[in-house]
Amino acid sequence: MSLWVDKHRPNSLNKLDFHKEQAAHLKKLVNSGDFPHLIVYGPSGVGKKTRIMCLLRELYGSGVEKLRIEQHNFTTPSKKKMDISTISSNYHIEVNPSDVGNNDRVVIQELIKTVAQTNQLETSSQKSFKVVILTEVDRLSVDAQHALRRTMEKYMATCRLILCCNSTSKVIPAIRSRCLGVRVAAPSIEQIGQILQSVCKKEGLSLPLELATKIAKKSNRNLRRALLMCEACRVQQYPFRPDQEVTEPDWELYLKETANLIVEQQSPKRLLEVRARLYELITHCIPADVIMRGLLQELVKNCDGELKLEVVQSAAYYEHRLQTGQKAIYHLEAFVAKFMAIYKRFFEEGIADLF
Amino acid sequence: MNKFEMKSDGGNSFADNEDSNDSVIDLASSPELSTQKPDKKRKRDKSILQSINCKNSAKWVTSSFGDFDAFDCFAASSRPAKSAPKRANTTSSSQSILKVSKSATTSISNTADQSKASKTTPQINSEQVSSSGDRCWLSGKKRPAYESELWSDKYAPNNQGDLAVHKKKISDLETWFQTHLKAQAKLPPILILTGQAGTGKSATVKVLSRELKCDVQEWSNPVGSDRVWKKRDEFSTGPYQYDDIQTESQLVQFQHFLLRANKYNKLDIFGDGNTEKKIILVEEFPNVFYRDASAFHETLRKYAHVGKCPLVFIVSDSTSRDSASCERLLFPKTLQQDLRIDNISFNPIALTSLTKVLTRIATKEASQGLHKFTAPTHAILESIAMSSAGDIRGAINTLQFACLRDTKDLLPSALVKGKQPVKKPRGKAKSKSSDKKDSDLASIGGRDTSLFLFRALGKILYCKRDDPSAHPDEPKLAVHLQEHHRDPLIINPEDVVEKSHLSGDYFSAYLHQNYMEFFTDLDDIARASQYLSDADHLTEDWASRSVLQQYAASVATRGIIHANSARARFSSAGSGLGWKPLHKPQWYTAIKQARDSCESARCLFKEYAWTPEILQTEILPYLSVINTTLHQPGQASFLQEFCRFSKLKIPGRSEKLDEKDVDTDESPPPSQSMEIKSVQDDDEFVSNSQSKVRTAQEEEEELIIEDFDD
Repeated sequence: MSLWVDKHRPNSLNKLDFHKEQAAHLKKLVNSGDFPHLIVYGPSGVGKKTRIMCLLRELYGSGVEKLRIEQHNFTTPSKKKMDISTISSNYHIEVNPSDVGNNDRVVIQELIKTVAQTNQLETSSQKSFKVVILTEVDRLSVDAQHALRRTMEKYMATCRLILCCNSTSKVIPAIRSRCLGVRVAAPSIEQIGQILQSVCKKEGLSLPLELATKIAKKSNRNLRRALLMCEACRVQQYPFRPDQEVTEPDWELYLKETANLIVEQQSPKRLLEVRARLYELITHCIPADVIMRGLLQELVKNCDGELKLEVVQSAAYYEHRLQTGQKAIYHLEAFVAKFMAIYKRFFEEGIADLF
Repeated sequence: MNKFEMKSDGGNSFADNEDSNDSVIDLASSPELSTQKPDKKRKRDKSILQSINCKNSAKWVTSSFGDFDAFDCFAASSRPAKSAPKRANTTSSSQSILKVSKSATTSISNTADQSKASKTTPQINSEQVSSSGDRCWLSGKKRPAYESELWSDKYAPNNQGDLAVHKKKISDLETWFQTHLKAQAKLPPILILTGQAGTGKSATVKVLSRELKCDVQEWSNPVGSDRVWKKRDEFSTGPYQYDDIQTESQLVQFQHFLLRANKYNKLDIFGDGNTEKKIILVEEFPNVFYRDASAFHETLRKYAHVGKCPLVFIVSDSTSRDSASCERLLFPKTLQQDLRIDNISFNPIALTSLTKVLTRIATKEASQGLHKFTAPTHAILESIAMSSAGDIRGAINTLQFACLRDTKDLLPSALVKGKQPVKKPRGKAKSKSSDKKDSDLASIGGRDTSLFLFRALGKILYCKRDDPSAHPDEPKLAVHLQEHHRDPLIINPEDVVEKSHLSGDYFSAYLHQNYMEFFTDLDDIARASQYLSDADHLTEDWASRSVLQQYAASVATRGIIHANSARARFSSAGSGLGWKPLHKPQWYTAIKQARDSCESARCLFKEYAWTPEILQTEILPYLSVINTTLHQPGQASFLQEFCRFSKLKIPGRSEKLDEKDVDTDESPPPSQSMEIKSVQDDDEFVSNSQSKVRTAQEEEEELIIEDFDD
């Protein structure tokens, strides 16, 4: 049994549930038999990849759904061996170059070159190009992005690139201008609610509208999360009740507890506890920027209007450092310490004003 | 061995072409040497050659070695010519010894008779001990007292009274010996002596064993100068027999040594009375153990089964990487517990007793030494003692070296500053002036002092400050900046970082782990953490990292010191803070764990084909809630592990930092180990998984790209 997220994934452009207009545009785009390089961007869980796969199906037929996982080995110029797994069909190959960290440049060059250099034998029945899907392009190093730019131009005849990322802000302009940008916006809460209900119907379950909306709200307009939550609710309790508790991931609960601890008391001892919890989150592979964002969202809820500005500002300051720096814990902790100091001062001033 | 073979191949040309040698000399030594010495040397070489030639038919080989020797000697051109005959002697003697040992080894290899082997090998060993004995100043072996003898050898302690070691340590060791030489416990008594180099560990053992009348059987690594000679000679008589000599690995030799030394007493050759009691002393460890400590552990455990007599290990600790890992690597805590290993650690020799010893030696030398000099003044002795940082061997050697020159030279610099600390009361003044003197005395062999990490961290975190009245010319801050006023520091943070032998990055990781407990005010913490963040920010660019690291460490240390406003004053120093345990940074273990589980998540849940972030933050947490059928057993247990958050209030603090712990700033090479791991996982995956993409997987081929020119 696979997850609902995988099971009920629409597989053609016609079946997409939202942004139908955009789907129609895409359809028109590929109907001509060719398309430019694409960059598909939008927040997490809005169906970017689903859309890409639909597009490919439209282009190549059902053959693209025969997927296989492959291991590729690369050797860097410094003789370091790396391997990376790709998902591919006869027509396309999908890879996440950021899996190999700093050596992503090599992967991009080598992989695209291999794919691009193999010409299709029968151009009459097949398309003359293959498609390379690169995910998490915004995590690519600048080196790799420049390598990508060059590769893009060079192999235009035999391959098309589809880049997939959350935000184009970290993609260099040279790449952005070479691609057709396709922005996929997050679905609205109503749309998510409807999708959840239709999925439940397919599963033979009935989902009350209240619960559907509740899940949709909790999911932060992330459809993947919504579906996972819905499935978790199903496991928890069926038949659904409208007032049912929606399961959140453990780490989010943990992060919320941590934020509460910070608000509850501001002392060196408490900070030490918080640090231990931060380490715990880091060891569980929660990315530091996600921790930072989660903390801020929780902390700001407890802040007064004028305090918010200061808190968010310091969060932005440390978040930036966290992106560039090496040791995330320094910056996370510095932020927490800063917040504690601000918050404490605010309260002490407030009490002083009372008297 | 390869080297020699190579030389022998080119031997002819080497021997013919003597001019080439001379040109080498010209380069290597002063013109004076090159004109005078070569003649002498060549004569000597000829004598050596003759002595060898009479046993040799294959002349060309030896001649090549003759040249080789000459080359050797010239390289060490400062060696006194006096040693030449001696050297020739050793050649012949080592040859004869070699013959014995060769016949012995062949007999071993032929008959494989253990008892014979037991008799021959210790002989070889003991001979090596005597040859390398001058290494330690306590070995009782007396050489003819000509001037080149080291005073540290000459004045090796003979009885307990001579020892400069603290009385308590001596008595500790003595009682240990007494109890364990008599009593027969189930496990053989094993003792580790630790302490810095030159704190008299070996001396104490030797003196005590002499006083308690027991034999010391000492292991020494079977590699030495003799061995080199043997190799050469052996080779000259034919390359094939050479291989017979070292058929046993060091490991096997060590094991045999332990077992034999345990079973059999020393041969009573010199008739000095065969004592019943004996101890086994291991001061150097076969090199192979540093690479593979488990072999050593196994040997020790084996010894624990069969051994009876006390086994003493001497481990000098220092801050350098190899020897630091030595104690932890060779004697992990579990082993120490299992085998009930005792541990006595020696402290650096106290200043007073060190000075006493130095005075004794100096007066004796001055009155009866061959070299005439006036006894150095007390101040000089004291400053020598101080600069040696508790290393008695080093101190005596320094004294000897200093006395070779006229000690009056030392007076102006050493005396003026050297007198101060004695008059002043003990305490911070002392440490400060001793720092100064370190640099003064570097000219006569003072040592580089280094700090253990524990102390270095302590210096930063406790940040002791000096009395402001001692620094009247200190610039004052403006009134509105008064809150930033700090009394002058006793230490120099950059020095401390440097002496800790850690990279700045690593040092600040330690600081980060520990700074918080030294702070009381939240604002201070916020400021300190800001500085740490700054420090990390400085090193963000890998290209400039190596340079900026020092600055980053400076920012981190000074930032933390400055931010601690509770300890800003001289008067506040030392108050309020008790002793606090220090911890090792959690960051490295945390990040390693994260990387590992990220990697295994990627491999285990490959069929879901999500990007790592989504996989870790969304899919996996829900997978653990949703009862899907997981395809591999590994997945279920991983999920359980992955989604369990510690509910403890303070989940596991990191490992405590020991007083003598030393860390290296090599973070384990993560990528490599990860790669191996992932490959293994892949194999598993391929064999076990029945995922939906499996059907296509049979045709999976590895794609190896060989060239990548654009």
